[in-house]
Amino acid sequence: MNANSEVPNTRFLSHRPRLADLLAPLLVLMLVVALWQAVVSFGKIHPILLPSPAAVAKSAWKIRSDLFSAAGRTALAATAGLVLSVLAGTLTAFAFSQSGLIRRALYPYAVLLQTIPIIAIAPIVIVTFGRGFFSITLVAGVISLFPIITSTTTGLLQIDPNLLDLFRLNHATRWQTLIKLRVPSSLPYLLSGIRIASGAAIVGAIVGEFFVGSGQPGLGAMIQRKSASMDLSELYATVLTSTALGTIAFGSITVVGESVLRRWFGMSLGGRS
Amino acid sequence: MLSGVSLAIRRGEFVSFVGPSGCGKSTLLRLLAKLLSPSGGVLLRDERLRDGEFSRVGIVFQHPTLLPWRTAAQNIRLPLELGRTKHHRVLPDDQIRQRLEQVGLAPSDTFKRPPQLSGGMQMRLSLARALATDPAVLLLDEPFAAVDDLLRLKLQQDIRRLHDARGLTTVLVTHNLQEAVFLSDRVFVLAGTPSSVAAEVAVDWAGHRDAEFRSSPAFGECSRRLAAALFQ
Repeated sequence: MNANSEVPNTRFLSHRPRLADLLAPLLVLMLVVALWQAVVSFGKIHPILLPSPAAVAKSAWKIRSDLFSAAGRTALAATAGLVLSVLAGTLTAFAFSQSGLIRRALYPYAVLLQTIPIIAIAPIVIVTFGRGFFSITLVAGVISLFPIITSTTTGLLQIDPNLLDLFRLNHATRWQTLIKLRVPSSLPYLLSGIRIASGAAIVGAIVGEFFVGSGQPGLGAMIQRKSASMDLSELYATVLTSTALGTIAFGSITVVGESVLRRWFGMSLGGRS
Repeated sequence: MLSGVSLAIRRGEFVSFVGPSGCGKSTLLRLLAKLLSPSGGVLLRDERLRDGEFSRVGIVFQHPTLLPWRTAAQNIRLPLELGRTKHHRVLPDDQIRQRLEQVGLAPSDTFKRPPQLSGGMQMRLSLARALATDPAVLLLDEPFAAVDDLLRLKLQQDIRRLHDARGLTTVLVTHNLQEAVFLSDRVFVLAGTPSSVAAEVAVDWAGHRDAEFRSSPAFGECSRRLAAALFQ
């Protein structure tokens, strides 16, 4: 076979994040920090209202070991919550994909789950399950459940109709279609659901810790303490650490997800948002 | 969509259905594959095709529709893994290599995944998958519509060669008249609303389907008759 028209397609290999993807947001960050410093230094804003970036950095360095261990605790609770929501969410999505009746009956409640504000769920969970790690995990799990359910259900149902025809033509059983077609096809959707859910899980863990309060070693309780003691620069340092934790989670799941998809599907998660 | 379509396809024959978009060509193919049920009337099919090892029908779609997470070999084996009856006929690696060569792929492609193959190679793999169960009937749903001209000519020759070599009964739907003439023993024109068979053109050519046939007066005559029937 000699054919220039049949050169193997290797485009999928070149799908790597470019330097500009990292540099552009970093540049924006530097500009914002510079502007913030200028406003505090040359403006008339009192440091009690807005601490300067330099003061925040100094505080962050001072309490770095506290921040580090608190972030670790929060990450642990968020990860445990995410594991819970992935388990519960994929099982729910399996049920949704197998029966239109189940889907129609239960989907409105999955949406309802999404509309209940997390600050309303957290106190209820804590009252019911106590002021412990499990309650925090549960809050993180509840808030991260919805994206897992919706994206995985979409992935299980959005199958190329021709592929479904092929399976039917070969008399595939419902189970074979689920295991050999629907589940592998839904993997990119599950991964993108996990990516969205990871940020939600961290928010959920922090809110849970916030309501558990003083004795708790996570970032949420730390935010609560710093805000009660009006220690503004340390409060900012803690809030920024929370943000960094969310960014790291999103970024690392993107990297892992992209490499899994490149290896198994020759495709990308898309939307490097 | 379809009405009063009545015809018989002979064993070992290569027939095509041509017609404008939306005339029900693909519907007809899916009726033949029993993927759809007729809303009225009956579809009689040779039930002997259900018996024995010739129990399966192979199909090739407009797009390769391969499973990207499976290697070429695993994609070919897929139809054998499906169904309630256990096929005790797992294709060993040497047979996979042989089947890859039959459709014009290299043995080195055995463990490649579809994203590593070009569009044309994916189409060839899709054809090998359709033939994995050694079907008596091969259904082709505009399989050349998404490939470039040069590749289309080569794929057409390869498919007709496979049809002859394996004694297949092949049904092709297409909107390309030349393609239908080049490949088929008989071509049916679907037209009207609801569609029915407006014309039937037999392609009489004893020799191979090759460049010589393509430039022969018989080829031109058949194409003209089809075009005339379509534009009636």
